[in-house]
Amino acid sequence: MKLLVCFILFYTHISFATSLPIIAEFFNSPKIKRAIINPSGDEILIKIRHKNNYLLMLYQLKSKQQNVLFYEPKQAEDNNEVFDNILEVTWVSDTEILALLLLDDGSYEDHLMTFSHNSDGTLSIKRKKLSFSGHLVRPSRYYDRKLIVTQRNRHNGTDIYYVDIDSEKRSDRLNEDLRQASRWLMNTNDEIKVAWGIVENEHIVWYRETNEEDWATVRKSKNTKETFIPILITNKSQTILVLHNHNRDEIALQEFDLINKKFGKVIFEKKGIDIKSISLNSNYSALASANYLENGVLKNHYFNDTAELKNNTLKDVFPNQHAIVVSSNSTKTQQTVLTLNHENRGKYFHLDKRNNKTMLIGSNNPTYDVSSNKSRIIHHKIPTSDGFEIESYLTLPNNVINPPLIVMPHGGPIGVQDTIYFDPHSQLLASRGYATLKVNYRGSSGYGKKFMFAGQKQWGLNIENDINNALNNIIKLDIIDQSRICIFGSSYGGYSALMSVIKYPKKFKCAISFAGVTDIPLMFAQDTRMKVDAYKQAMIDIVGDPIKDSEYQRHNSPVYRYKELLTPLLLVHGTDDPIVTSEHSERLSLLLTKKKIEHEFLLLNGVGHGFGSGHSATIFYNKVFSFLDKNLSKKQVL
Amino acid sequence: MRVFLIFSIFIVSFFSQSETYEKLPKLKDNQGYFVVSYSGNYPPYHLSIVSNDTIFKSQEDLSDFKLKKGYRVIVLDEGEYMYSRLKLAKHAGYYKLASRELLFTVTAGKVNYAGDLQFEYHHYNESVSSKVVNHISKTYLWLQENHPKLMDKRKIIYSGLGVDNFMNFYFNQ
Repeated sequence: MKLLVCFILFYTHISFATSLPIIAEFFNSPKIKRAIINPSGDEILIKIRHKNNYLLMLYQLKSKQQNVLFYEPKQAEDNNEVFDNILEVTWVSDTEILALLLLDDGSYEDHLMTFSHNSDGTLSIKRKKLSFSGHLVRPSRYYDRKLIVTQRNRHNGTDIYYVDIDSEKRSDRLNEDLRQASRWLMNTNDEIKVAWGIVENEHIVWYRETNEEDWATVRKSKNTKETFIPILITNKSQTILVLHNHNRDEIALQEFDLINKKFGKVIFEKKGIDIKSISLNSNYSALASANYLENGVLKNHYFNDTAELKNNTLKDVFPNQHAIVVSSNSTKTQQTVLTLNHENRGKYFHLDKRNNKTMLIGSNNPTYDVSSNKSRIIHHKIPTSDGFEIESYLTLPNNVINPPLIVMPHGGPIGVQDTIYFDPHSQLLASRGYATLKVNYRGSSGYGKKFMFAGQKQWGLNIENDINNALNNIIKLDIIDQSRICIFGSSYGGYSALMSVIKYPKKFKCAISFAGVTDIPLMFAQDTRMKVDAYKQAMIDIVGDPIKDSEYQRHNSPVYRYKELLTPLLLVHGTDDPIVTSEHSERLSLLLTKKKIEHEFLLLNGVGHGFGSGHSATIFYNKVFSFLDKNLSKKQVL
Repeated sequence: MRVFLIFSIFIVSFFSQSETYEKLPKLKDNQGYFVVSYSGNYPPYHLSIVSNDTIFKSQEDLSDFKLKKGYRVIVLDEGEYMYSRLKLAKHAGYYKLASRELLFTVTAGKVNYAGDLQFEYHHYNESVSSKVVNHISKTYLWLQENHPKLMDKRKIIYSGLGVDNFMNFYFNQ
């Protein structure tokens, strides 16, 4: 099959310096989702959005030739949504690409695409559906032309296999008789030595030294507040490195002896900060860096000079950006790099490491002139009376003195963390002259488990106190207009907006709740998820028992305190929200309507717990901007 | 565990969309109204509800029924029930719905609502998944519009999974 190059796909940066940015562009699916370089380093595979689908394009670095490798348009249920039918994609060799494709009926298939470039600039492509089913983990590091593939099994675990690319034959299960594990740790010879999974609400870790031995259980824990993630099999006998917070507050990297079942040397820890992830070297055989968020910024601790040197080079090449190497060729001289910061949603570059020359592959940013809309972020920390520190991030719009402020509590409330990185809401609001304040209140992740679980059963209580204290701190700086403050959040953030105007009615000129919880007891009678014991217990941990804690739940539910909701209010909910059902907003609106308490209510047809498309975000924000114009437009004298 | 007898399956009878309160059957002392609210990616043909001790029979042929979502008000004896089986076409087989999750009770003299039955037919493995989601406010507004006299006379109560006393709170405001 031959495909001609039919259109220029590379995204060009269009400037709209004098007009307002287009709302949808902040929320649309990213234009580019993947950009990976081939083993030889002369061709890049790019997964790029075209209309309402993604396609795979090949870009030859030398000739700048672009060819479409795969494009099969599929219709999403909602015409405005993007349907991504390419789930995974990876290079197998310089002329072979493996892709996991999603079919119309919800099933998926692995396809091997073999191609060659013709002299006339076209591409010859052979596509073969591989007969195995399962998810590709990666090509084997030990065997040529073998893939490592996993597949869910009927034991609620995952089986792991080799698949031979040429014969398509699947090996016997590498996990053999251990069927309940869902995650695996392999050594450099592809031998599975450590496995872990959840069995009947218990986190279990298994170990075997050789393939001939039976699996032994080395750890069992029902403590849902604990993290224990095996990271690397070390050179030390029977020792692995784990990210964990067992008997400690912050998640740290530490040795774990699989025979004595004891923790050993701490490899890396950071006081008051959880380690988010560990990067390994390209062979997955040694530590490269520990990654964490400090003051909302991604930081790396490097375990060797080479890794640090590489990062310093990236910092020089991409100043003021967080740069991530997405892929490298076999000699590590050619790379694709993704850059991010608070105004940059993601730009993909090709980096030639021999001369540090870069080429922009594409950008996921809205097409407005960032330089004329440049926002800045101010980071703050304030202590609480009970010994915590609350971090907040104030985004200030460009060229606006004392802007109106939108306080934006995040969702969750447990286990979510705001950062300084690109947030479409903050950036869109900044482009319209609004400052935004994001607060990592107690319950947020990243600061240790004591801080995170201090948010449990604090709905309407200390969480909202933290947000209010962070706001007071910002007001003291005298850089925002304290007479024009609105509070807007989604999910728990929507709940928090409602409770904040109940608790602090004089502080806010308006409140916006999107997909907000309004009735805590309803969460236990909302839908059939409550029949799952683990789900119900998790909910009880977060908001209390519906019977024992019914007074607390009702007292902290906006529905049962609706008479105090006298601040101008906008309720918005998606009809298809599977997390917080639209009943939450519907019943609050029903009450407010009955008692003739002024409010606005927008039900978004077909929308879930977030925006599936720029189209629904546009409908939402058109309403929000009109609401904000009405309630925050005039500077008022306090 | 309560044993649900196979012969106790009855087919819910659906009333037309345009019916009025006056057309609803009168309740006997041991009966309540039950609001069947459903939505799916196909119009249902038959929906079976199982009781542990009562047999009901289909009162209306639903083979020409074309809506993918809607409401119907039916009369049931007080007791405990569950959504049991769903048929999507005249000559198709029944799909078993999840059982324990779809339990509800009917209280005599009340308008009982146990949540919207949401189902989805999956082509790739020819199965049906289902769940029940509480949308009592929306249902109340529908009843007010379509059965105003019923709502003047009787209160709607939630009788599905968990406890939800919101409507009681609403009526007392």
